[in-house]
Amino acid sequence: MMTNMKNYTQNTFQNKEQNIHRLSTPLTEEKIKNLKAGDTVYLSGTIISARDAAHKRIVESIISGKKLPVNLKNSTIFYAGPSPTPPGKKSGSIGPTTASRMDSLTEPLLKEGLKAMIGKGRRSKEVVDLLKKYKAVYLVAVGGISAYLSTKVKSIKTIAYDDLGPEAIYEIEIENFPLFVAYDIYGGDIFESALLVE
Amino acid sequence: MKSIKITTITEEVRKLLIKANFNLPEDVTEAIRNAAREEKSCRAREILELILENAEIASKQKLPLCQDCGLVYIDLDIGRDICIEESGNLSDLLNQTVAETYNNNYLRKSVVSDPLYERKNTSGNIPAIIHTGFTQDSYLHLKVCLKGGGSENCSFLYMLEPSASEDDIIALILDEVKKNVTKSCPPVIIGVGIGGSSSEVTRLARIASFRNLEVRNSDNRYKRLEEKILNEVNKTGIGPQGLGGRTTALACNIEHAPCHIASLPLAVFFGCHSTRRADSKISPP
Repeated sequence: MMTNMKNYTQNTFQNKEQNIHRLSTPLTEEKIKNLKAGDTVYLSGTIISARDAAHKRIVESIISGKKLPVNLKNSTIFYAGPSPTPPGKKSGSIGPTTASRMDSLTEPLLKEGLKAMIGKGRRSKEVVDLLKKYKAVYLVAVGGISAYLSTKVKSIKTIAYDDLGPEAIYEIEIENFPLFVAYDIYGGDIFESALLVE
Repeated sequence: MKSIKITTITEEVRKLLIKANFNLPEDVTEAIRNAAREEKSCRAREILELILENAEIASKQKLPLCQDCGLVYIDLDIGRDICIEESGNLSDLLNQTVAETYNNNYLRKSVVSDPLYERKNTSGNIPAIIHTGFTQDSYLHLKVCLKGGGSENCSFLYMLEPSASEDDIIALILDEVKKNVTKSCPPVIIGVGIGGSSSEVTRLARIASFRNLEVRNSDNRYKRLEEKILNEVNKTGIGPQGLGGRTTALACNIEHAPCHIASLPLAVFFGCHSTRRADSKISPP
């Protein structure tokens, strides 16, 4: 009983400490410097999607000096491959894919000015360090609640790499899209701090 | 011989694919509801409630539960004396049904043709993985399971030595959970295969991860092991989505089988919380 009480108090306290930020894109260093791992973010504005195959092409273009199909300066990338939009709806189901698969392809995009990534799950130690170095954040969306998240999308369209189907680059207009700060620009890590609570 | 028309089977597959994509199974919904009641962490409770809200939106608005509409598994357990009429190209017809259903219902197509070189999307979420088996039942049991890529990537296989103990297995699973579970959309369903062979044990783990959560292993020793693993996993504090809490897993299901004297195969399949499965029993007319 005592243990339960203790956990409950700690949890309530921890959740009170959590800050809520309402932010609009483009996310700049000024806007993300107040974000701490564990905070909640409701994000609005334009973001782009890019996952495995799109990342491979973007990185190949950066290496060979080709023009990129999207401007990455102060951009927010959603690691996502949406389901097709049914007629009469603003978006099909949409949600985060596992971010760690993009770990080895992240630095070239950060060099181009990428400021925020949205995905799910832990990433490598290298990414935590890269985010400190380039002053960028990793946000997590809840995975597997994609019908719910689609209600936070105002519009969605492909803007590059159409031939990749669900892996194309989409431009997505979001409104109050619910996110948690997973890694901040100071090395904070939600997955580590979450474990300390219980 | 009693016959079932192939068109009866393909029509049923179409219905099951739709049901599985848009509706969270009742036993999973109940498990999440119970977990939400018992969670002490506000964030974990909030996430579990979002999962329930998502399920309501998905079924009402005919939107897939998850944007990853999965790789399709179709299992046909064919009962005694049952024959499938016009079954010459059973797998072609089943794949055609999958492609039509995915295209007509705005479901995501997530299959590439060649794994290593072209990786070109096949545009129909095909081929499905089709297994046939035989039973002593009087009907054909048709089962459809959808497996997302995120949790699929966290599956693992160990060929243990026969001297390995229950504690060794618990330790291995805990280690993998700590390393990888945040990538497989927790709360997860831990499907464990023990025994068989390297190929058979992964099939057992897949079947275990899609087993109804209310069914426990019928052997008391394995049932107790299921409880032990679940308990240990939920003590890690990893929680829903890895963001802290008690509900890292909803269940641990074990399927076991005899194996070679030199082996003790162990396979684990992490099933995400968006467990999508549907089944139906077709009796010959």
